Amino acid sequence: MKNILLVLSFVVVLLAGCGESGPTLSVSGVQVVAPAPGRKASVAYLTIHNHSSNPVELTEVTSPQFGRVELHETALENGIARMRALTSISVDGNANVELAPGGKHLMLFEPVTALLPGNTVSLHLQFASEATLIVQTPLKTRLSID
Amino acid sequence: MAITNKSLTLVLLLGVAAAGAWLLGESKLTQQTEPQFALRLPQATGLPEFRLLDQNGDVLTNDWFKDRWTLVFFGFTHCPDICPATLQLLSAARRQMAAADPAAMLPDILLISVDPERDTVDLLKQYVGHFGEGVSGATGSLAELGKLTMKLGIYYERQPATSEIEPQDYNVAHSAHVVVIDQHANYHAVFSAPHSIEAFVTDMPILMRAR
Repeated sequence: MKNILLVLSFVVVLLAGCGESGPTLSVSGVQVVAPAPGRKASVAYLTIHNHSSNPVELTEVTSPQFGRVELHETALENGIARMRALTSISVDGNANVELAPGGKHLMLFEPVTALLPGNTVSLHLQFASEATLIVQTPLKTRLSID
Repeated sequence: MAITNKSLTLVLLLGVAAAGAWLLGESKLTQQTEPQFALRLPQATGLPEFRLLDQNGDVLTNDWFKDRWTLVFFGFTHCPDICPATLQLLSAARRQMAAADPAAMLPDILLISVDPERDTVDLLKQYVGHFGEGVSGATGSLAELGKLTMKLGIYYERQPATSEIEPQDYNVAHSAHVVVIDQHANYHAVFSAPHSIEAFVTDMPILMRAR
């Protein structure tokens, strides 16, 4: 059975797969950044918290505001930054994975409509366990992110 | 007796004030002279003659760097993550430096695109304007870029697109360090990635005291 919970980004903890012992997954620090002028892709950063002892795997992200969302990583090897696409992002049991500038991140392509800073963006995070987290956050510019 | 106690208190307060003043003076004398994060070259070294175009279409040569300190990052505007993130970080560091000392000289920030095939002057202008004051962009032919990248130890290489859907959106792997060019247009220091605002805010005032 698929669990879907909707939480605004201002609430930093999202819940999925709640059991008697509490949530197994939460997400914090969600930020979606608009592309610089002349560029097409937005980028999203967030942190996934796995509160269970079992590993989880983020397998797909979709967004009603974008035609396509991809999992990417900027890998820094010997001082050289290389981009690579990821098929999934694993989070070990009782661990966190941070999607942050210069590391793992989400790329958002093909906006359905023209988006302006402040417009709401929803991200649907699909995990291999069939849990889905839905987060909403206002679109930011590079200069307005934390 | 009461008068004596007051006198003692006064003497103690004066002593504390004198000690504070002395310590303040000592701290100024022993202020940090070497960067904590950046690697300063043992001897600043000149750049080869080069010719690029800036975001306004104006020629940018060695002279552009004179009488200013510049943080140079090599990247490209199609770069979705580390380039905008680094420019944002450099811009934030510059704003913090301005807030800390409004009278201080601030470093300029220069993005040199290693993707001249796609990064036109117009695109560079749109792009760098997004990151606030003091941010410029430049690019040039591969031959002209090569003069700088060879000297500054910058590596770059075209990579296939990460998305199969848009194969024309190739990427460029590139060195992520930030080079410091001093007011004499010499290669002065380098910040290695990953970067932090703290590193630039801490070290740039120290580096910029060099004459």
